[in-house]
Amino acid sequence: MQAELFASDGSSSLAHLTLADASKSRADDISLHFSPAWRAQLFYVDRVVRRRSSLIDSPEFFFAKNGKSDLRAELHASVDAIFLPPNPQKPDDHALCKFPRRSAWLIENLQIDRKLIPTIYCRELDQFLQRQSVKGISLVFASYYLNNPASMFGHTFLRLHRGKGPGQGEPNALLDSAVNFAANPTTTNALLYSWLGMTGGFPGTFSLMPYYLKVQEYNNSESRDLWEYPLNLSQQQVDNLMLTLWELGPVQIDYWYIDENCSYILLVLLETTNPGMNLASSFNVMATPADTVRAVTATQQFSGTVKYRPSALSTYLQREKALNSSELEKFKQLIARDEINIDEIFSGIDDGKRAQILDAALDYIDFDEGVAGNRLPEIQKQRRIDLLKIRSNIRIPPLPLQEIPEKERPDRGHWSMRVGFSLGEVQTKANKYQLVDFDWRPTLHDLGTPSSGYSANLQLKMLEFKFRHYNSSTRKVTRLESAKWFDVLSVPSLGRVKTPLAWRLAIDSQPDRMIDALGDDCYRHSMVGGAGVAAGSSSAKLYMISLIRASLSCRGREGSQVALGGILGFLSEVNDAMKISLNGIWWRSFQINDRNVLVRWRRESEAKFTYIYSDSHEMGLFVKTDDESRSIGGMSYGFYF
Amino acid sequence: MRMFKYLTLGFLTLALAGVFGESAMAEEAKKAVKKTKKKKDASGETSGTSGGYVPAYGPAGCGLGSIVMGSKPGFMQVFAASTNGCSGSQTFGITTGTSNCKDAPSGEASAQERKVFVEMNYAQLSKEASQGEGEVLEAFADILGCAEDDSDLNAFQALSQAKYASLFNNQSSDAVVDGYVMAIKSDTNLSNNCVRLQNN
Repeated sequence: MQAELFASDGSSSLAHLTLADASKSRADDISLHFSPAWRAQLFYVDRVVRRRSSLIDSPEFFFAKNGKSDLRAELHASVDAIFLPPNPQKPDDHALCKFPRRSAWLIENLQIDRKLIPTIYCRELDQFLQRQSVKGISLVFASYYLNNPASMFGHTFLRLHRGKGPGQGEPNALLDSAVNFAANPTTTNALLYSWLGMTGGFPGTFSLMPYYLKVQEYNNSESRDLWEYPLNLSQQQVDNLMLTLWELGPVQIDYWYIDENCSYILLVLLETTNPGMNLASSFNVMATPADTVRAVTATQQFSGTVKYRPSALSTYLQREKALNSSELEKFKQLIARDEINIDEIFSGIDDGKRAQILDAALDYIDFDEGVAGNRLPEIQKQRRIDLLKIRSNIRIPPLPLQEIPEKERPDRGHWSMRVGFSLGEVQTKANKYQLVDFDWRPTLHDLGTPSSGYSANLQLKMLEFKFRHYNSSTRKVTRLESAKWFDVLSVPSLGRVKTPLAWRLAIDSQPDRMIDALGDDCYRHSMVGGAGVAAGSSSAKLYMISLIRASLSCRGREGSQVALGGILGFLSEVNDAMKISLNGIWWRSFQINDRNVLVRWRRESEAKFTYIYSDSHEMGLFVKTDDESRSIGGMSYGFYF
Repeated sequence: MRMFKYLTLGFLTLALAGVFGESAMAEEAKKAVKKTKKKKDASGETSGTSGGYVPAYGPAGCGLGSIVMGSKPGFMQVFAASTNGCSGSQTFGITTGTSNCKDAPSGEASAQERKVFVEMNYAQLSKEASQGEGEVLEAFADILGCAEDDSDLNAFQALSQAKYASLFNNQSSDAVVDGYVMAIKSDTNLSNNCVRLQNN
């Protein structure tokens, strides 16, 4: 092997320099550094937040000192590196081994004679490629995670297929590999952490792991559905992606609050397979994971098929659904937390039904206690062992699970960012105004909107701003009508066994005075929280949540308020495109006014009809009244992008 | 001035989202830490690497794999996740890839791969073995080389179910692997057909 290393290393280093110079001037002649393929390989982007530079923050990724921002300098330095003789102790450190894709591309495009550059056997690279031997790639979306607001936007990563497409002889998917991009926090100091998290202080890195680990993490540990989107890539493109991953290996990309999140970085990575794809460039500011999925499914690269992996919860719910009421009783006895006699419970039931009830009970325990990997249940540990033993004596396979819940496919959902425009009228005690509203919201979903592609139980809104122009014969006013900093409403329905909590948490700011009242534009900042229950399905759902609200106005102590109340709501999805939403809110508020406590009742009710077509356009009609005899009605148009 | 106030408020909102998620993940954190400790004792290895440019992927190969659990989750990671619009934090675990290396000549590498697989899939593997089928069980058959054709796979799944009580009697993954190797070797059909068990 040593001999092979030096096979072409007979010439002097001066000669190498001259050869490199010749190639560099050829590159300048054809302006090779402007080539989209070169930019893609260097992760070079031109965006609003970060202009004209590479996303990669590790200097080791570049040969030139200013390689991060200077495409030409980097190209020249890379050419120099290719011609350098290898270090006999560490041949794997040579440019040809560390940056195989970049090197191959330069050699091809500059028509460099292979005889003039060192011949190196890259052992580590070779082993890496052999072990992976990847034939195809899927983009995987881990769905919104209700129990944890941080995961509500979902997540994406890649699955590297060892086999090409489904069919006979397809290797087991769980033994494929996954590529994940994530931030690695470097501090445990809370303040420092917050600051670094916002400003890109945490290095993000790629990691490669068995796919089964990701399935355990999302499907079982966190109970999130997984959606796999196989991509149409040629073997050449797949190979190139693997080489790019190899080149990226240890590099770091600083994480930025708005734009450089995991999903965006994956898009840039996918774009290196086909620089003309223009995937990432469509995201100038913000990329939510589901948006990047929609962007990919809109391209030729999407193969058209989707694979669904149900979460522990989805699996359990399917098993439970298949039980009739007497079987459900048996099931409840099996999962009860006190002593049971299983033989007694199962007396008179045939093996098929026993298997079905046992499978439901096992899946329930696994979901309920987050059983995953080597983590076994704590409360029902012995019960699970007992049930498994009994199950192993029944030689009947579990019922097959349902295919794909088409409606929930994340690529079917509307885009995340919304701008809205509405026209209407408001009638107050004294006046009548024409209204023009403009609103903007970067993420994500309102429960009043049909839920295709989203959870029918979850509303998540962040940074929603609404500006309103009032126009009457006597007054014209434009003001910020509301700012919703954060608004979550979760209304999971009561199950036959589980009774999940419905809850709400919201922080907003609104003008403290009615439009008729003249004077300062004082704003009231409130925080609302509460818990309750919901029942029904997405076609008709009723929810009831008791609420508590604390609010401060700009007048300080005067005007600070505590209120108790409740919301009663009804949601009905007529079909995939139409939704009706009705709700009433009652408040009893206690407010400090001139050193007295002012107690007031307040009622509001609202009705909304929403029609959404394609993933971008939404029309709505709304009516709203409150007990200060204000009533508002109008129509709205929303555009998602 | 007002703008500044709003920005502050927005920031607080995000922080609050973090706090909210913390309690849900605290338990997870404890378990992850426990697991890490256990893992280190069991394998006696650290995340070894062959050097060079490979480290971020770990050895990305056979035999060297050890499992490194992610850093302790909680407010920190949740905050990072919320500010990044996706939860990419590795709360469950990062492992250096020991799968996909079944062609490695060394018997040690495949033994290591089996152990890691069973450890990381223990709960699902035991469930599917008792049910007599499933994707995790199939993957395990694949690792042992018992999935070369459908009849082998069926025989392997039937064996898992029939011998469930003895195979999964002990909850250590080592015992499960050893039990499987013994059970397969004493099965005339499978011992001939499970290709990856023949040379060790």
